[in-house]
Amino acid sequence: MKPKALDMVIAAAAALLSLLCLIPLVGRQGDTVSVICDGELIYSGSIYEDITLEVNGATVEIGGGHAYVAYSDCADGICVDMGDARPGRPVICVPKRLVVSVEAGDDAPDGVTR
Amino acid sequence: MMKRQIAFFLLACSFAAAFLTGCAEKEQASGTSFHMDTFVSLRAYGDGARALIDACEKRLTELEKCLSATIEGSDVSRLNSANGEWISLGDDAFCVLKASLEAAELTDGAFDLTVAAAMKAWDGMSGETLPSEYELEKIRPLVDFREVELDEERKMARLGAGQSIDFGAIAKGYAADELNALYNEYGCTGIIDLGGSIYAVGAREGSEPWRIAVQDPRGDGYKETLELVSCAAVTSGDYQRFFERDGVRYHHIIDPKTLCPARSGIASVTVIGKNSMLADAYATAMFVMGAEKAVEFAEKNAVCALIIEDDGTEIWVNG
Repeated sequence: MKPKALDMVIAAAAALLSLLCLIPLVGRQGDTVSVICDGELIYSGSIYEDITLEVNGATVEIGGGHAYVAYSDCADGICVDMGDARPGRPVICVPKRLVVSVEAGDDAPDGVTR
Repeated sequence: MMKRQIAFFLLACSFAAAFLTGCAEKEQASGTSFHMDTFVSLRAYGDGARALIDACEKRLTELEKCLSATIEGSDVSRLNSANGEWISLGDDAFCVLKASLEAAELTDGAFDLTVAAAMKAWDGMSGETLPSEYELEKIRPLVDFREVELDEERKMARLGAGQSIDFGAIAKGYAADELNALYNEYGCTGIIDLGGSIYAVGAREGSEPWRIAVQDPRGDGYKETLELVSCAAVTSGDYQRFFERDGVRYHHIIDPKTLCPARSGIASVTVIGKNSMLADAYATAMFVMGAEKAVEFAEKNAVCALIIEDDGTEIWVNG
C-alpha cells in the first residue's frame, strides 16, 4: 500500500522531535561571543557580526571571527595585550570586571593554561 | 488504521528515547567570579554540581580574605605590618607560608616570597616607575626568605624587620588544590580555572582525559595540548603582565637575585602535577632559573614541565 500523506507527516514529525531533543547533546560551533561586565551580560551575539561596544571605559571590537578589547583606560592594559578571545581563553579586564568570552565548540580545548 | 497506530507508537518511542537520552546526562553547573585579583571559571559535572559551585565560591572568598596582601586584616597584611613581631596565622596562611619557605629552600631562592619588597619598588609593574639601582640596592637586604621564622607549634610567624611577603606566585595553586578537594568530596569532575592555573578534576565522560591547551607565549594560538586526568597544569610566563619602556619589555616575574624582571631566556614554563600549589611555585622558580638550571631542577625533583624559550624552542622534562 502506498503511504498516505498523513503517514509521511507523522514520520517527519517523529524524526524532527527526536532531533530537537538531541540538540543539547550536539556540540555548538563556538561562534557566540558574550561580553559581561561586573556580572551583568552586556552583549551576546555572533562572532561574525560587526559591532563595537563601549563598556565602562573599554572598547570591545567584535566581527569577522574576532573578539577583543581594542582599548581600555585601566591602569595596566593587560586586557588589550591579550588579543583575541578564544574558546577556553576569555579576554579579561580584572579592574573593570570585564569578560569577553567565546563559546566553546566541539574541537575547543577544555581549558587553557597561561 | 493499524499503520497509523504503529506510526504513532514509533513517534512516542522516538520522543521518549530522545528525551531519556537527554535526561541521562550528568548534572552540570558552572560559575565565574573574580577572586585573588584574577578571573575564576569553574565547571562541574555530577550530582550536586550546583551545590559544589556554591561551596567553591564560598571557599575562594575565605581564602582571599586570609591570603591577600591588600585586604586589611588578612593574615598576610597583619604579618607585613607587624614590623618583625610574632603573628599568629590561620591554617591556610600557615600552610602556604610553610610551603613557600620549603619551595624557596629547594629552589635555592629562585622562588622567594619576600621579593614583595622589590615588587613595591616596581610599583606592581604598573609602568609608572622604573626603580633606580640605588633604590634596588636599598631594598636588597629585605629580600631573603631565610629571615622569615616559623613557630610550628603555635602556628605563628615573623618576618625580618622591614620585610614583606606576597603569596601571588603560590596562592592560586593552593586555592586550586582546595577546590579540587571539594570536587572530590562532592564526587564531581570538571575544570577549575583560576586565571589560567588549571586543575583538571577526574576525567571527561567515558574516562577520556581533559584537553588542556598551553598558551603560545608569543602568539594567539596554542603550543601544545595536554591530556590530563586528575591533574594540575600551572604556567608562569612573561606575556600577560608587562609594560614596555623605550623598546624594553618589563614583565612581572622578578628575579630575587637581581630584583629586576628575570632575563632568563624563557618565555613560559608549565608545570604539571597533582599538587597545584607546588606546581605554581616551581613554575615561577624555573622561569627565573633559565632553561639549563630549570631542567636540572626538574630532573632532580621529578617535576614534569614544559619549558618554552624565547625563540619558541620547547623542552619537555619528565613529560
